[in-house]
Amino acid sequence: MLSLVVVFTSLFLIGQAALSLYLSLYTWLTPARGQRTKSPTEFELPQLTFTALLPCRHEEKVIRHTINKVARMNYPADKFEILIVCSYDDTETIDEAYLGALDNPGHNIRVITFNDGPINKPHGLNVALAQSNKQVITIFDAEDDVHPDIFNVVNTVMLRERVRVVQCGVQLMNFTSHWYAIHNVLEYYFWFKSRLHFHAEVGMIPLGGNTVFMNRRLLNEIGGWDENCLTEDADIGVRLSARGEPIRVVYDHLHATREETPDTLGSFIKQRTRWHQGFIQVLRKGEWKQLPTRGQRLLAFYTLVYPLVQGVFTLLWPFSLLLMLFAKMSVPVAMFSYAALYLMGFSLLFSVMALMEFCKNYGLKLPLIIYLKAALGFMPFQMVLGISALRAVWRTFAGQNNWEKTHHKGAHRPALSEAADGGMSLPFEGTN
Amino acid sequence: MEENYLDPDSEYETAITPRPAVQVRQRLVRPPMSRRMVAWLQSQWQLQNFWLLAALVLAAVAHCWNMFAYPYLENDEGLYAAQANSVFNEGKLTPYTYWYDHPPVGWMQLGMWLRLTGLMTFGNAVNSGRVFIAILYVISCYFMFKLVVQFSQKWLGETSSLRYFTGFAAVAVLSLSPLSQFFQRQVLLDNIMVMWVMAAFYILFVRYPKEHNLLELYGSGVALSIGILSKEIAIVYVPVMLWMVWWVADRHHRRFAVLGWLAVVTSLVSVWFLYAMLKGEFLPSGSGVISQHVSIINTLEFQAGRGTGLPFWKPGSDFLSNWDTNWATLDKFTPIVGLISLSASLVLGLIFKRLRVLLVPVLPALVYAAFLLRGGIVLYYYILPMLPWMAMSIALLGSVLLSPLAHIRRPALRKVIAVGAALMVVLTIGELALWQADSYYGNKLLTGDQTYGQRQAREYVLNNVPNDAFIVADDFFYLDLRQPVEASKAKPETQIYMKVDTDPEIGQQKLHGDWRNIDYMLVTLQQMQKDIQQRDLPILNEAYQHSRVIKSFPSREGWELQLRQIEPLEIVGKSFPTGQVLRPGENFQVQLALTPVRDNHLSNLNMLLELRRNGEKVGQDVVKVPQLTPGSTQNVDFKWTLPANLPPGDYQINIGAFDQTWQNGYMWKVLSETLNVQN
Repeated sequence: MLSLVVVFTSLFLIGQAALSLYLSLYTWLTPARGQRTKSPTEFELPQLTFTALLPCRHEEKVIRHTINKVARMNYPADKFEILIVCSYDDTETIDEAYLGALDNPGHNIRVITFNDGPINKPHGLNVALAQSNKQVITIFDAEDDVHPDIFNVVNTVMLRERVRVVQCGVQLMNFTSHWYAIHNVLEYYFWFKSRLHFHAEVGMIPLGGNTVFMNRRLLNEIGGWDENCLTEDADIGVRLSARGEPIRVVYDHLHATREETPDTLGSFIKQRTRWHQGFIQVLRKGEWKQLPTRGQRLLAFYTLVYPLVQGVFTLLWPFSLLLMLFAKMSVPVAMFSYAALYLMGFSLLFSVMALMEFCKNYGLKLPLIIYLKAALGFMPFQMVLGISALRAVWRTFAGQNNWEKTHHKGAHRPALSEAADGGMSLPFEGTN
Repeated sequence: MEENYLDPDSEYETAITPRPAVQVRQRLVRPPMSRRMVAWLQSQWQLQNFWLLAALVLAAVAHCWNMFAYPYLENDEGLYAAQANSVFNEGKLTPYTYWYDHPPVGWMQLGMWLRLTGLMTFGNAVNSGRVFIAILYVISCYFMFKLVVQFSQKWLGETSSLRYFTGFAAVAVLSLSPLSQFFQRQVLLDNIMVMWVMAAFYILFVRYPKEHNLLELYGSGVALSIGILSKEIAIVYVPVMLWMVWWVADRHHRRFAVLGWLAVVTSLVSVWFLYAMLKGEFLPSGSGVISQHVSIINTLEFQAGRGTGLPFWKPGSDFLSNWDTNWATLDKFTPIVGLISLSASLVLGLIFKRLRVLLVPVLPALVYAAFLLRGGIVLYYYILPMLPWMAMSIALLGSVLLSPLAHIRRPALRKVIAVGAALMVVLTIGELALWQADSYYGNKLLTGDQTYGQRQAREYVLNNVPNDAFIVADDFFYLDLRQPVEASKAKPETQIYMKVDTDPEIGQQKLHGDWRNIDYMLVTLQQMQKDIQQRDLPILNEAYQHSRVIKSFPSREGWELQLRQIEPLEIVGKSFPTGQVLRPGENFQVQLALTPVRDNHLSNLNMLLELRRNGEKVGQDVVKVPQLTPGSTQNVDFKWTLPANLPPGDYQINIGAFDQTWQNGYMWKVLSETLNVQN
């Protein structure tokens, strides 16, 4: 009986760990895949026009800087516009945004305000969408470090490959800030560099919250963002996929939008809880059931249900470890139960290798102590993810669907101080 | 501000026409099966497949021809067959205590085969194993062919058909070498290992470069790990292969390739140690020779310490004596030419970039040679894993020398040359190898019968020895006697002779540490004597000292396979008319004090007295012995009158015992004395 429990638990853990490993390695498996995911090396002439939406809430400290950054894109000024979206009562941010507009004469920069509810990101985006005039809509968060060539990249990709939705890479940078930052950074790295490409291949993508480019007409056709969803970005990805819309993912470390991890463990857990909760919402909305193929529905279900599963895993791991160490089992069963642990080891190894590659790509120094930190923090990080998942499940059933804010320090951009997270959600997972 | 009258979608929508979301799958009308088969065959009918087929047929024929009869059944073969059978039929890794002598995966594979095909399908258990090994051999020849074809393309060019011929030549060199055939036919873990090592190289150098798929690269790590877990010595290939992984891996994922590959191998191999740990058999349990339980660490220490310890160039070292007595007598051609070729390849591969792949067989050969020459134990078949590298190297180097031929433009001429060269190679190697083997063994690889005596012995014992007899036997009799086709003749108390002393379960629990509980021995005498000399085997030795030959069976030169029986009685006292001169018609008396040495064969015991002159029996007497009980001494008296007309002279008096099995001819000699008769 005990053996049966152990075998099933282990099967569960092994299956999940193996799948997760495969997804993490997806892009690395063949050079052809690596080549496909990169940015084009030569750009087409600027042809498409862009609307950059900057949704803000109390971002007075960073918004002017960000506007300047976006305005100085390597792209003809008449081919893009910048819309800063604020609630009408956020006067400090509005003032700063106007100053930012004044900094850049000759650019099409507007401040859009709204005074109806709900005061959240999707509502702001919908308001701005109605006011936008260009062909392609994109979103940047107030604290994002956007690459000046990103419009050229997207222009080229859209024209060459005839796609209407492009998700570009977003990368957390400050891996030395906290113990959990290493694995958080790696999550982004694996997600955008590898796993998202698998989603694109299958045709079921939960999109990210920024640096995502969508055809305006398409957006209008599907009715914009869902204002009641905590992860409107993932939701819109699922809805686009359900329509059979091909989505292209581009990750090139050269052009990735740089972000930072939440500055405290508390806000990290809150952010993750919100994402998990958003996923549960998307799952319950059930639009994923309209995905055309069974494989897509399966992937959607797996991705969206993951918060629930991760909660279960979090409870299972200590149980399984205890069994491994103390229970008297027959040797084959015991060996089988160790397989999950082996895969965990692999996952850690690949994390470390990805970290080495990440640092090499971004020209960062990798202090030796980080290896130790990565190894020691690996399991605790999985536990933190699990706790967030459990919180999300708890909050869902308690009916708490409000937005817990995440704070940013601007660690990747030393000149900046605290700003608020505009929010982007990824169905991140650890290996458990 | 952007003017609103501009249609935002005008140019954009013309530029972008999204592809249909779901591609409509077209249903193709499939041609009938027979047509498809023909088409498939036609597509396969390429020159490469012709050479491949020729190579594999040659390999299979050279390997399988006469393989049940030659060479003799080796003890290890029987042991592995027994262990293989044990895995799937008894759910244990070995029939005896598993002591980590080797990792178990090799005989697990054999076990699957035995399970699939049946134990005695091919006559005896070892034969079944040999069929399995033959299949593995043909598979590894396939790998070798593909590898050589792939490598030689570097200097022969992609279009040259000489590549296929090179592949064929490699297989031919290996298959026609008596040295390799001799060992490759035997059910040895090394043969299983070689197949997996070849698979690892094949995946790395032939499969992986097709797409540079990381999973395939890891697959080569898995294959090597299975190789290591089949026979641990494959671990010497890890560093070389690691370098090769780095060399072959695409830049895109080189770091993941090298470290991941190493992690795959390490973790799979570690499972063996994990097993030991979970069983609590990792660390030694205590000091001293006899420990509480087996331990993987103890065994590894023991294995590493085996051998004479002499450096390889000293006479008497394991390496040199094997060379003299085993290898050189079978085949000098392959090792010597192979060595020359490996050395030349090393030099050429280091100098010329284009010839770098020549190093692929050289590097593993180098590390394996280092193992052979380390000064530790070298068993007679340890040369075996070296030979495929040599064959590959000979073929590759040969094709480098032949590469000018590849530039001949006329295809017909090229084909003629290729076929001619192939014939030449086959004939030369075949002739050379067979001729030289002939000079020692009379070309017995293909015609000789070394297993005849072993087969005879098996039949004889099955038919003539009581089923409840405790038999200690050569390893290869283990399954044959325990699980013969005719279940009524099974001898369930057959044990491998070595285990009598090395496995406490047999020596202590079954035999209670007493040699007297053994009934028969069925052993290759010289091998057992050697084992008794070299290792501490007290129970076996005692039993051997108290045994006598019942029947001898022919074996290979210089070896004798014997069925021996342990004497049931010991004489503790005797009175005999020694030195006394007797006359015809006179009475004489012999008194014997007997103690039974075993508790079986004691009922219905009779003593027989024979009088022989010059080997010819001139008279006899039989006395029934009262019931004997173990531990007590019984006196037996013979009172006998010499025949009155007995001619004078020296007579031999033999006294023996027999029981109800007498009609089968079993008799144990107890005493033999000389008697002087005068008128």
